[in-house]
Amino acid sequence: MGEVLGDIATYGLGAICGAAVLCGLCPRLILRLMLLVYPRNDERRPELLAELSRIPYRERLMWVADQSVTAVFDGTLARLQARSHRRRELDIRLDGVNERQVELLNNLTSHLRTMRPGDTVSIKLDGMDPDLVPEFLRQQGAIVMQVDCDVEDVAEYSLTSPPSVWKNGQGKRWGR
Amino acid sequence: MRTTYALIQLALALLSAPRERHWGYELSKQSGVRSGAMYPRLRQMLELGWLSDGWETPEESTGRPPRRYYLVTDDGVRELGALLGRAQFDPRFRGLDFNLGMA
Repeated sequence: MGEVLGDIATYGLGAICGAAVLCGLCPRLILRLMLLVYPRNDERRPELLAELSRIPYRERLMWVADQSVTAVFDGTLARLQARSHRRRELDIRLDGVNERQVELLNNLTSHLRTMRPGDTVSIKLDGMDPDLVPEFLRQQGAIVMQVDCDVEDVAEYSLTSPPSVWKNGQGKRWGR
Repeated sequence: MRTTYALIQLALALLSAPRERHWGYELSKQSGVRSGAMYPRLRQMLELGWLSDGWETPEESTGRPPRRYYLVTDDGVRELGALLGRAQFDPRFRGLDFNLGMA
């Protein structure tokens, strides 16, 4: 009770009542929204949803409200860890790329600056893994989709979303 | 891992039944640690190998979504035990009942 009064004093009665209505009437929806902080495949998402179904109704309101703190601390940590893990994995894979392929990736980066969403580009991979190109570009904020890859080792990619960071012509380059 | 009040409370709850499965909600109730502080700790303990985890089977979950459980590993029993051993003599944790953890 003292805790609730303390919360009212801190956040105001309106905010507390609003949160109570939201968390009390649709706890699962609110929890699902909070869990979006976690990376897509994080086990905490199904874990907390499963926990919710075991919590007595009278406790759900406070429990769901409490998960906002969990999402902020645990979810943010999980997302940062997943991001750095993806970067490390990409770095490891890029270590196996030769000089010619490095040049190819950097040229592609420059070329994408002049492209619009929906435009396609074909490149000769020279033995490089076709999945590496979208991964490399995603790290720089661009989304491309592989359209085709033929026997001649030429892959075609379509630009879905141009990178916003390149608006000022500041595309990143990757060197060895 | 930084020795905090929440960590010691969690260690006490985990070691009160070191060979049994622990569930997030029950663990939070038993230890008195709010989930916002508990889950990051559980994540760290999993990474350190002090805990292992698993999911309920469909038979156990009886039509509801399967829950995730945590088990204390042998490393966890040793490390958490050592942690509690040190915390017993730390004035910051004087209010805690350490007998619970020694079961």
